[in-house]
Amino acid sequence: MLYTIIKENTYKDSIVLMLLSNKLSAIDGVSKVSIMMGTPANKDIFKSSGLGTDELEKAKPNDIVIVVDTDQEQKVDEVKEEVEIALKGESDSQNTSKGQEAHNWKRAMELANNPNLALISIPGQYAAMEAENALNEGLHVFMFSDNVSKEDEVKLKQKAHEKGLLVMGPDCGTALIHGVPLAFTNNVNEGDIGIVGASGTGIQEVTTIIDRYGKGVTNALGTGGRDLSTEVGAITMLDSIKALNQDPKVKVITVISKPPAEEVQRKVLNLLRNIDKPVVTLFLGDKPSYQEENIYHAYTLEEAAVVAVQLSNGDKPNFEPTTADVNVVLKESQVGIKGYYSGGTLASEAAMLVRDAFKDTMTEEQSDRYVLKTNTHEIIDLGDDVYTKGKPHPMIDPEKRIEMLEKSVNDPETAVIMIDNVIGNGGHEDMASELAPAIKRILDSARQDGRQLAVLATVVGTAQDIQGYEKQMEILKESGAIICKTNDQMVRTAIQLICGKVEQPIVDVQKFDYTKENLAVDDKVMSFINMKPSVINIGLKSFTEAVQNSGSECVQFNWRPIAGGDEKLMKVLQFLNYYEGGTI
Amino acid sequence: MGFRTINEANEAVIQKIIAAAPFLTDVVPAKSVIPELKEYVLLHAGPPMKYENMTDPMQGSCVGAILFEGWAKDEEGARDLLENDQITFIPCHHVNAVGPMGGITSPNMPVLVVVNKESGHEAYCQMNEGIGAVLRFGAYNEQVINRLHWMKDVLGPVLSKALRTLAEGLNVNVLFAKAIAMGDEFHQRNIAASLAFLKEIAPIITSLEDVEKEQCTEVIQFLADTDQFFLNIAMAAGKAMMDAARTIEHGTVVTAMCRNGENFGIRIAGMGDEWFTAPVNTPQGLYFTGYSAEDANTDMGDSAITETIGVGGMAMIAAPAVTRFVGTGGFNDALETSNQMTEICISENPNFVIPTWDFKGACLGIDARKVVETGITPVINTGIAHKIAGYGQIGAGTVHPPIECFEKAITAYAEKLGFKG
Amino acid sequence: MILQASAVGSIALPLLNEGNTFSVHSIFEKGLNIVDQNGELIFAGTDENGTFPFGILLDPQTKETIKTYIQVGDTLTVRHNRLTHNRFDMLLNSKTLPLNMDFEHANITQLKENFQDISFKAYDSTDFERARVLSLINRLQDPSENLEETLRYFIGRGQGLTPTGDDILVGILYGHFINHFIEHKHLETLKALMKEPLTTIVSKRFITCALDGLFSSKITALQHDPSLESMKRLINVGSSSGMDTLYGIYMSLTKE
Repeated sequence: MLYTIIKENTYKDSIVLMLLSNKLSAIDGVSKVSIMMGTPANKDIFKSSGLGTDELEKAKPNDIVIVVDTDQEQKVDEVKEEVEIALKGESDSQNTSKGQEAHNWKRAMELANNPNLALISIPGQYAAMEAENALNEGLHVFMFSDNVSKEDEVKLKQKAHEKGLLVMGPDCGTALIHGVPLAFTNNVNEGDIGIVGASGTGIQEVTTIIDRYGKGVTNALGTGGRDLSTEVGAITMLDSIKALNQDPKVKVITVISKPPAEEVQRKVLNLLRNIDKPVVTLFLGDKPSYQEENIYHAYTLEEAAVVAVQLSNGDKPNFEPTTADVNVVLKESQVGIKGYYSGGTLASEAAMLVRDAFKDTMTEEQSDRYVLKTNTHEIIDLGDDVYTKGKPHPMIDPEKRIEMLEKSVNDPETAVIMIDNVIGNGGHEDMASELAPAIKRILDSARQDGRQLAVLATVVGTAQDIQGYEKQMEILKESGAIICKTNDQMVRTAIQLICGKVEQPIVDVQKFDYTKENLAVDDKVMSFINMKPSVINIGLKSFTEAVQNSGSECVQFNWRPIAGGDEKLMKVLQFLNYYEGGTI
Repeated sequence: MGFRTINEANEAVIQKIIAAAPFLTDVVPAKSVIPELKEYVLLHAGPPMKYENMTDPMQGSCVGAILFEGWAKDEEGARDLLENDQITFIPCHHVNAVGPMGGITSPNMPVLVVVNKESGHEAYCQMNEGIGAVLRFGAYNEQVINRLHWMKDVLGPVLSKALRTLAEGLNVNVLFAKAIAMGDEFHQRNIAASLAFLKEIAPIITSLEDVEKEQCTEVIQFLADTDQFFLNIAMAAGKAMMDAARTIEHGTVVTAMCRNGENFGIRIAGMGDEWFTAPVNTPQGLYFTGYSAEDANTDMGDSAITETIGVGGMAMIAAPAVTRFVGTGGFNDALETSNQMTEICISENPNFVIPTWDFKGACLGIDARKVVETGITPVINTGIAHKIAGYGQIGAGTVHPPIECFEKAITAYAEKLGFKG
Repeated sequence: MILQASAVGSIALPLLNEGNTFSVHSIFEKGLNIVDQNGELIFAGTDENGTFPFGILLDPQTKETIKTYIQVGDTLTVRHNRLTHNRFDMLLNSKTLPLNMDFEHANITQLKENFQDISFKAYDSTDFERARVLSLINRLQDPSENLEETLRYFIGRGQGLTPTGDDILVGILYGHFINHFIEHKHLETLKALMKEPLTTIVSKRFITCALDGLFSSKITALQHDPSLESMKRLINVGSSSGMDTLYGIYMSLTKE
């Protein structure tokens, strides 16, 4: 008995049809089967091979026709099932490269699927060389590595610029590329605010506040801390601003940096004045002395985030700083603010605000161990090199922070202690639970000593972060800490507790002349920020997992220094590899 | 001949290896082609060494060779000669020869003669004795000595007569090419090549007129039983190829790798006859029932000449069947191994095309620079000897050369070229 | 998401007019077919099977990206030199694929010589045995013949998305362009038959292009490099398409 199955207007690779044909022929009880496109010529073939049926006539050239000869009618269902599976089945993926690792560039490029980004986290003395290799391979570069010389940075960024590529870093801790978080970055909703920043925790604070306001960031490009130096000349920042300007999905551009060298700041502002999209700038440490029609100059990270959200909503910028409610009775002798930060930019912001509030009354000591040090206040960035030598970063390792907290309580002048808890990718899996017992202990110990103490804490993160934003706040609150929504709020609360106040700048809108700039951007940069990156990760393996978890492709390149890092052998190899003699 | 860069010199070395045309032409007494091999002289595997530093199996081989030559009546007499410095030792490599495991070769042992017709270089290697108690693993009982006599009196002459009927000799590259497609890598597995050799030689042997039928039968039976017979042919061929390559005298391509149980020695083209040595490693692998790594002797033998020409462990992927045997897991591990080896090699050998490697040629030209640069050392497939003479082979596995050999070699070469570090 | 086409074929180019709308016709491992209102087909995909005059060349990642976003029946519109889908925009401002109509460069002697090394025995005792194909080729040179019925036999006959008979015809047409032999009349007959629904839409596209002397890059490679390797690369196209095409070329060059 002949049965005809017609799949109208169905197209499959020939190989699928052939495999299907083999499979169907192998079914017990099927004596004959043929699968072909329903062209007139093929219908003749069906007929001449004894598989002609009436239904066959209905088939059109673009239909797949299957004629089965079997005595058992129930076999037809089995055939139909197989046909469905074969025709629906995903095309055989050829991705056998998953899970494989490379240990040289050639292999990494083979394994990677059309890579466009190298994520570099190997020791600084080798990082520049590998970054150059990456640029030679046509990849954008994200350099987590630090200890790269400024000369190398200039060389790399110039080369990248000429090739239409971006170099983020060195010492770049944070970036979001088309929603994919790299290195130490929070999981932030995608959205229409574009960010360029020279500071890692600065980007984290701003993107997480934006996220918590229900808006989003698709691209946050890090530049590394020295990009706005005179020598580097903001190469990466300028290219990034142009890219965000060209990206039709970006509505508001936000620029975050420490105050740059004057001529570099001029260059950046001139470019921004060429741009029609609304811009928010934050040169953290500078108190804005003017506003511009299309450029909002913010004073704090929270202000930058809030204004970006307002502009993205089409609202007029309007930022009102806030303070948290604190129910603590302080003695008159308790006048000191202590800040123990893991985020460098957050520490700088705290120092800036404290300085602003007490500028008339305080004298600062100069010390590279402190971001701010007076006889009563101290603000410390525990992520600074002087504290991290040979130790993990305080975002990962709570030890140093706990030590500082316990020491601070011995000082009877301490009134307020501020701490940050930066969560997200790359961070500690539950920092709050590490800090909570110490907070509880110092609060108890102060109470036993007959005084009260305010411990303020802020969590930098989003609900999507694995550590859980709410959960981290809950744990800290439980321990007796007062939770502040942002670093800005935390510092202003601390200042208010010892009866100070920071005034928001009230400034006029000014108009500036500017020189016209070419806003064109290389296509490679545009496609970079408009696609999930395909990454080659050179160094820390955890970065590979993070990238893969966010649904992007990543090949792990297990980098080793050549000749095991032996300097003499490296010189021998260099000598031999570059040897040129007429008579060897 | 001048080369501008090391890459150019290396390219010339590689071309020399590709061009090599090794032919098996004869089997002759060692002393007839190695004039240095006089009375009371023995050849040994690996870089130069003293008797007292030899491991037990190699010393056992020396005893066996002395008994075979009749220089002493019994073991005691043989040890006497050896311990009183009455025996002169020369590395095989210094006299155009190579020797498996202990590599102990004496004047009257028959050796295979392989001629590289491209360059005229000749190389010699003793014949494979089979498995079990054999001289190369240090056995020297009566059975071993009797077999050596049979090889001298019957096997050698019969093969010699058979090979001499061929005007050109037997083209070894043809055997290599055939057998690599049949799953041999020529160090741990030679069964296809040995059978291909038997296929060529058996009809000739049976047609030899001046050989007794009984002897023909014995020889053919021995060849049919000896799966690894081709290994020694491959070694002599490798030596003839690499000695031709050594005439380039420039560059960083490795031209010899060998070991003597004490030291691993390598040569590179640019440093001529100089050995760069470091203490050997002990092979890692699988052991026959009843033995373990504790019983294993350190690495020895000149057979790593096969890896030097890019087969053996370097061509692991050609021989999926042996990957289990040498303890490297399955097919994908073999693939991974060979892929990794491409990172320290300069090119691939179009003469040795490997079907299981998507018809890529075997690795060609180990570059000592790349070894140092990447820290990846060549993989050598090897038999594992018992550390006590006479037990024979107790397992098989892989071993790596110590990287210091390569570090010393490139440093010396850089200094030769004027590097002042 | 903004994607970038790597290159556009010269037949595809005029179809990508501002405002023209395509629907996704079919999706394959290596790419997808889109068809406009007039039934004109464009293949967008990688060059694993060569590049096509009616193709938009994509790199593998772009192809994969598109495949995750797209379903059969989706609409694509050309706007501002972009192919716009509700999930992505594809920039088309890329280079145009070369036409490779320099048929005079073909080294026919060399091709014939290399054909010696390829066995076409598999076609014996099939619907396309040597005698049948040779007979067609001989009659194509004769203006007095009427070949409509014979061509109907070939068109749309055989396995696959591009049935074997069609691939052989494409091969014969390539043979014609490097060494003219087909009477104009018969080309007209074939052109007319292509207006009837005799074969799959993809196959029809290949034949109509071939009638204009437009072939995929794996075929035109033969006129620049007549080596066995080029032939083998063609053979590797599809499950049998490449071989079928080569068979057509071979037969048209071995006729006497």
